[in-house]
Amino acid sequence: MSKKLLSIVMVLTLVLLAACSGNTANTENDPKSAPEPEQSVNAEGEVDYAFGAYAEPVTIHTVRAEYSSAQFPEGDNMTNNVWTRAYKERFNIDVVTDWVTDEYDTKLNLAISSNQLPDVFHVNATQLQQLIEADMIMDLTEVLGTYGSDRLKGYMEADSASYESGKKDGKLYGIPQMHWGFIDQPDYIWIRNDWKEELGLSDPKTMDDIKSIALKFKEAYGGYGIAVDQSLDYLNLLAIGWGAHPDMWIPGNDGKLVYGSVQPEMKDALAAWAEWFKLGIIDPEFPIKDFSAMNSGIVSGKSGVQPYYQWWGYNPGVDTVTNQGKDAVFYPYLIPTVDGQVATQSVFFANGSYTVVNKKSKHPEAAIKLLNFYAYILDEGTEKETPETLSAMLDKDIAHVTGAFKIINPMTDYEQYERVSEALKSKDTSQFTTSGMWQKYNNSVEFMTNATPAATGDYLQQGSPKPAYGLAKSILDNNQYIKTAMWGAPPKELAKYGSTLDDILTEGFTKIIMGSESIDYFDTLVKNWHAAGGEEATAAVNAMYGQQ
Amino acid sequence: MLTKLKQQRAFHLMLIPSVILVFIYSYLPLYGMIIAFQDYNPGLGFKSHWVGMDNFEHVFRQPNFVRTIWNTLYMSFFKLIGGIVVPVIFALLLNEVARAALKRSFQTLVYVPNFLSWVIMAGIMIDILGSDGIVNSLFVFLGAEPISFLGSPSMFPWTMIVTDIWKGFGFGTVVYLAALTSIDPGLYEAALIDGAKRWKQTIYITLPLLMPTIILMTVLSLGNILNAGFDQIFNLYSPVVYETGDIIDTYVYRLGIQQAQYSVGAAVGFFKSIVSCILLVLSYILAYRVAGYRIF
Repeated sequence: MSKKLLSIVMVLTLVLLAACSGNTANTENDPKSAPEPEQSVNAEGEVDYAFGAYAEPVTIHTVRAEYSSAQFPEGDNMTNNVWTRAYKERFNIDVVTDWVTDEYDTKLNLAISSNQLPDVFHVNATQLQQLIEADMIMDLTEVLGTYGSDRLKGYMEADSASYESGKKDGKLYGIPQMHWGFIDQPDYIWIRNDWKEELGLSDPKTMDDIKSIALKFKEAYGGYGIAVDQSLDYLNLLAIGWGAHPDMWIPGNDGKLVYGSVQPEMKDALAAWAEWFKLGIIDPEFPIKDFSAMNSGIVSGKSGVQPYYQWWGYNPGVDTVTNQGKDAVFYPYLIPTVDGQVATQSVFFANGSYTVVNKKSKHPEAAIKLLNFYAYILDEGTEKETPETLSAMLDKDIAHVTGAFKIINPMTDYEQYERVSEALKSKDTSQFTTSGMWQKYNNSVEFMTNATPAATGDYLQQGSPKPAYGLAKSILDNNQYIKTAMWGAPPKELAKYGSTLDDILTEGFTKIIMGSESIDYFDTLVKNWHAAGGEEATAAVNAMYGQQ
Repeated sequence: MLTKLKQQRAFHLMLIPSVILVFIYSYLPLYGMIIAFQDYNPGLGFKSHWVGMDNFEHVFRQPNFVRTIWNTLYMSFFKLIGGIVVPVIFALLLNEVARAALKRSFQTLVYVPNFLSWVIMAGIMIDILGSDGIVNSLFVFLGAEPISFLGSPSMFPWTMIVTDIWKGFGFGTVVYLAALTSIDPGLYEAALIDGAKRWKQTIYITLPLLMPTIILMTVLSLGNILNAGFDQIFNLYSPVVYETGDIIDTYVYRLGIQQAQYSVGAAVGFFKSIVSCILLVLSYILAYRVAGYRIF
């Protein structure tokens, strides 16, 4: 009796499960047969493809990643906010959000595998490749051509390499959402300014200068010299001083692509670091320090030298100023080579995500219109919209809640720095066109007048006597950088190894630096790396990104 | 048979929800194991290309995979042994404490670390065991060299073993204390009359009567021998101790999960399940043969 009952329950469960998962058959029409929707015309009587509103309301579905730092006004949220209302008012587009999550990649993978994709969504480079392979997303080449605004197309030209990375066989499948620009990529050696001035040290011109500054700081103020962490990501920033480009795929002598971390230049860098470690000018505990432990040493005044990115001022800068006072700011210096030149910087693949359109979607052009709109608000909003509208759309991180309908001008930070640095000299702010310019300017002034710790980041990036972006601009203007050859998703053969190939090197490099292996161990490591899969990976990278 | 079922109808009915849950969450997902034999692409789902044993080959060809198996077994084994011996001894000692209030507060104190996650505990450990933490400060005070508990490959596994046992032994202690209270006091009285002192009583009465509980706990933990404690090691290790501290789970995390390589992750999960299953069955048979003990 109970057995019977049990089996009935089991069967019921199965039926329910089947009903839940099986009911997603596609009943939508072929998008190609849909007639071109009616849209409003511009002043000249032509159809306004880029910005015209639909005559009939159009509904598109999307999905979003939670953006928790956005502060919405009462009643608004990720799915209903000033942006979604603007889509409706200005374009007659109803954007419906199917779900919001803070585990976006995982949830999206789930949606991909259960074939429950919305019309428009954003994906990472790997997902883009998978979706193209599974034939689930639309070729947007023509749609972008017809509906893209000149501004949007300008973005694509400004970083054409990222634009190409959204293509497969000449067809555009993913519109790169772009980035703030290469100006944020150069790396620096950051040096604590009050210590440097007290000891009367001059700016570092060679690698030996950095070494001697670290030594003198240690003698005068104790602590442990250069602050780096166990991942070696920060110490590796200095490798360009020896002409090495770790973690990057670059053309070798014969034109074939090679991995920067296993080139002979890296051996020179490691030999020098091993000597530094012996002299005690690299934190002796770096092998067990993670990112936050490394930075807490800076904040507590144990170190005055740190290789770091342009955003030092935000983290750990804010905490450093809070704890050690405003004179304890670190200033950035371009990383020099061993023989006193400015080192050639590494520029990595900058485009994180792509906007894609489901193959079944009936209105791919709606996505393009909304991208046009985003670009317009960010670049032209200050001139053409009221300050209230603009503030509601951009401030308090509301600018970042637009998910798939977001695209960034890859020249943003460059232009911003030009105008802000000019205005800081002339006190004339009439050239400001974006709210970002105002923010950087105001915060720089705020730090100079009140030394407010929260303003440290913007000040050190743009407004200080040695602004990081000023140095970066000179790098870009002088073309003193090389870009990674792998501009896009890693080939499958490489992704298959996860981080284990790099782990072999990180583990071995750490041993060399600490002196538990001699520098000649480098050659063994390179051999191990090739045998462990480096060979296969190199071949795959060459096949995908090498010169044809 | 049928009448027995009828008598126990209520029990069977109560069992149904858990049977359904186990079926849905533990048996249905078994189907997903097929992605271990595919080149999984979320877009194609279970219709992804079949690649046979490629994923398994890929994992086993990794030069460092063998050492992670060794590290896993090494740390698991000592954690397992310590996880039995320490709580049993502590429970026996605690059982001798006469004052009930003292006994109970000790019991609570050693149980508390069990409730803290390794994410928090790792932060505390790093502070305690660091070069200027309490332990090393004590060493320096006593004139010894400071020891790099987390940064030296030879110390790292033992740091993991000892801290893991320390964190977990409170739970075992509670279990064994409960088992101790169920021992018939009459046995001790009889032993006392026969002239057995505390030590003899422990050897000839307490331990044999604790044996079923010890075996049960051992059999249950043997299935986990390939899990050497991901949360603990992941939060405490660093590249410099990969050599002795990298375990299967942390290795697979870096190999598969970070880059969303589902097939590789599934292949290792499959391999681990098979080994664990064999170990579990073996230990169960062994427990029956040696101690005549069975769970079912």
